[in-house]
Amino acid sequence: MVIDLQNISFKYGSVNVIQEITAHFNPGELVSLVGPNGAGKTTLLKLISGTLKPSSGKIYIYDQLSHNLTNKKRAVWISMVPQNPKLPDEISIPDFVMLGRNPHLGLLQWESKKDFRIAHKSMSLTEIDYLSKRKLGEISGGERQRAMLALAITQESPIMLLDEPTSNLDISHQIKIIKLIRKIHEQKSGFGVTILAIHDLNIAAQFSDRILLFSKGSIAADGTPKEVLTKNNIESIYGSEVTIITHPEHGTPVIIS
Amino acid sequence: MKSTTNTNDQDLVLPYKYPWNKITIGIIIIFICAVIGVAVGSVYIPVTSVLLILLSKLNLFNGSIELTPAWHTIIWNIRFPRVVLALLVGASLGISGATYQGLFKNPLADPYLIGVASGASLGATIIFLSGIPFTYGYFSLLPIASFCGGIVAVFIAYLISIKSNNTHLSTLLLAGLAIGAFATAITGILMLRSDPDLRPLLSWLMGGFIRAQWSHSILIMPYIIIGVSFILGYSRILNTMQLEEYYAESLGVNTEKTKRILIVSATLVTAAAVSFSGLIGFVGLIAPHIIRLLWGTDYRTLLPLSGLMGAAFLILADLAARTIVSPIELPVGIITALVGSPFFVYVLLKTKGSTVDGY
Amino acid sequence: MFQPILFTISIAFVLMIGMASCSEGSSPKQPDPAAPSSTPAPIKTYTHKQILPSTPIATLTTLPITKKKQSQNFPKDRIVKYSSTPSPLTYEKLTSQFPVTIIARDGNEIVFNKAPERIIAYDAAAVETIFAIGQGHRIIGTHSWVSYPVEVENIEKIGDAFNMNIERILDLDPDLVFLFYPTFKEELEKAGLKVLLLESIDDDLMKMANTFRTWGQITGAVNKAEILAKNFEARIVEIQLILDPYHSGPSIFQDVGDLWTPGNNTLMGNVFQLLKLKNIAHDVDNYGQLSPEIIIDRNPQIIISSTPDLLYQNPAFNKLLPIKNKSIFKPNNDYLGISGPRFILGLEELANEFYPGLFK
Repeated sequence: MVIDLQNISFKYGSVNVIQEITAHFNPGELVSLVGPNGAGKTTLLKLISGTLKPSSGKIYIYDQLSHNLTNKKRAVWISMVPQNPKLPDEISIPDFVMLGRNPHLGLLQWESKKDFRIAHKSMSLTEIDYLSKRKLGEISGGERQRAMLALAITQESPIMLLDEPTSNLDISHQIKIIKLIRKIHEQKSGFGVTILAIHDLNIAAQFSDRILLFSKGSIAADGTPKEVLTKNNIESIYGSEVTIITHPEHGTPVIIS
Repeated sequence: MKSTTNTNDQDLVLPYKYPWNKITIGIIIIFICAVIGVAVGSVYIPVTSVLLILLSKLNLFNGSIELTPAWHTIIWNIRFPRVVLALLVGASLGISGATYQGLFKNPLADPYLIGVASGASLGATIIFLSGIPFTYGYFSLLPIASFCGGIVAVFIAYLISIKSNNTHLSTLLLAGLAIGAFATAITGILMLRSDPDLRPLLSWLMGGFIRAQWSHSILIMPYIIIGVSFILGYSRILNTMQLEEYYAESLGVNTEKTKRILIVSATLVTAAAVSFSGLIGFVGLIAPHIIRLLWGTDYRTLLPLSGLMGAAFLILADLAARTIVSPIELPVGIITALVGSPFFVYVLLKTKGSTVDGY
Repeated sequence: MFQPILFTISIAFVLMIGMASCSEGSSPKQPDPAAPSSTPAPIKTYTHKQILPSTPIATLTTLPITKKKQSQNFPKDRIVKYSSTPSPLTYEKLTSQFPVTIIARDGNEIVFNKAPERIIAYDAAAVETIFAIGQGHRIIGTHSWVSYPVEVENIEKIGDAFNMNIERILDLDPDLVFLFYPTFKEELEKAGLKVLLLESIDDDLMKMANTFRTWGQITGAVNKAEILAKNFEARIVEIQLILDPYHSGPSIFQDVGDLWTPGNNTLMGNVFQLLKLKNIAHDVDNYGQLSPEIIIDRNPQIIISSTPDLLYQNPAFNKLLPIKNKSIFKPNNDYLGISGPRFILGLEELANEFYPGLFK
């Protein structure tokens, strides 16, 4: 088991954001967290990444208690693409992507040629090599998203967490990014775990191996897209009527409202 | 296919190279500034005599040419220690300014503007007025007292800026302003209540190098070396600190520890600078900003070059302070403020649209 | 944003002014028993107590005084008029005449129909002068740095030299407020008070005598003021006469703190001129912080400082004669800091100090 969540809860003030969730994530899985806004998707990602500490329960990463991991070790194992972070305008794209090598470097150690090659590779993979002379303040939202993805790839960690990687993107970029994430996931040849919080059910259905459907801080359904995205589930959780058809090419469910 | 990757590899992301060439140029510029600083002053001394005096000090020349002892004193006991102290203080303020800016993600964070320098000078004033003998050979309590004052000030400024939950540029500056004014007020009260005979001791608060002696440079050197070593050691980590804290942590940075080490180091360096030369504003603002405009925000480049820039700037500012209205002197703080305040306004206007986060 | 800078500048200003032109010390000094109290200094000159160490600090052997070549002929009339022992000074008996018109610093005329009864004298020199002419009972307030004469202890202090409790002043309802700098003038005038600020005497030492006379006119004690003024003038002239045969004396540097020094247009600059001491800051206007290398270059033969240790400790200065000899002159009193009746004592102290053979 790569990630093992045991009975975790998280309180923000007196509000239970996450309520006694237990879940496991296995090697090779690309998992989507879906659910209405405020259901706890982002919070769960933050709990896994260590940004937040659970109020109760235990998180194991590779059988080690997450709580005891140093930031550095956690960063070797987990990379994260946050949603709409504030980024420093003045940093150039290559310098930004290169920050992903930090977990692999000692305090006084600086990036070697090898590190630069890795950063370059992730820039080509995300197709942002043309931005090498630009700064973060000078690029579009989609380019920012890809730059952050490149940074996460540069981290070379088996676990990748993505918080709404398609938000603020137009439809063609959304598909591009998701395909890219899928591609990177597959390059880890079966041992990586990719977890993304996403609000678009159709994209989740099309590209995920497994979907966790969230409702009010707990998991309402867990399984393959077909198992989870049923008319019943969606109507009871989202509260609106939908029709579900099957995608003619992929055989995945498509939700029409 | 392979060849294209290779050319791309070189075009795109070149491995980071330490800016040795820029540092070398910087050192040469400082050397030139220092030579000018030693050669020029309100008393005219021919350059050849200056050289002979320096050569004789280096034992490269045994004075067969007569040199007036006054010139010898002026060069060796006044101008030279003064240029060296200005160099050290300028470098300290440049580096600590860049560090504070990186830590607080605020391009206007100058050791003087965020109240650290005022706190440090309050610490030094207390030691001055306490009557405790503070110099023991090559050890002085003064930088340590300054450090205590400075660390309290920076801690309060930092607390205010996070407690107010407002990441806007001005919060830290306003907090710093308040703390600086408070510390200065306390210093003023202490001064007025003090023994009148001790008051002249406190005129160093004005900021300047008129009393510069060799021993001052020697006394502050260890603190500067320690502080600057830590800062330069953390320069790559400081790059990651430009991201939001949780993001930096997800990249494996222990942000709390890094902040603590860097604040302590930068304050140590500032305190050392303040303890013998008083309050000199804006050096820590001007130097890093010019470097940033020229060579970007990589702190591995920015920090050492800001130090060099600050040193060169302060040597020249002091030269101006002691020659413009010769035979009398201006406090060097007036010169740096004259240059610095327009600069401050410029930086403020430039960053007005974006908040700290944009930096 | 720049308020701290202003503040530090004002600190320096306070230091400068504080040491130069007003009574020092938040802690009141013990009055010197040898100094004349509220009566004018005795007319017999050069009898004031030798407060200084008996060994002269600067001796004539080390300090050159160039003698004028043809200088033996003093103008006779001056000698007759002010001989060094002028047993009772002659002057015409004066009578006070009200109304009195005084010209203030800004050129305006201020009329006194009668002597003011409730004076707030915000100046050490004025307080001393008023007491010296026997009119101290008229003073109802001053600032906390004023410590002479002893009677001042019982006078209310309305702030220190640079801060003034204006509400308290209004409360005291004075019929004259005397100031030595103009900061609060307008505000006090707006409140309906009579405010007096006299012409600065920094450019001419002799004007001090006129200040004494002015106080005599204002308070009606014209005769006592005239004695005080005449005495002052006579003693100045006496110094001039004794030094008349000489061209110039040693060069001098006065450090009033951190190398701030009086130059031209300062009272001390005038004192040096009178004593034929060559002020090395002759090209400084008012007060200025002298460049250390200038001090070394101009090589003063005498240094005056109230904090000599700071100069001794600075290795840059250790080749200067007064520092090598540990002979920086530290005045033992603040006579020269207050341009009042005791100023002449400070002047004579300096004269005695630097020309030990000449004044007996």
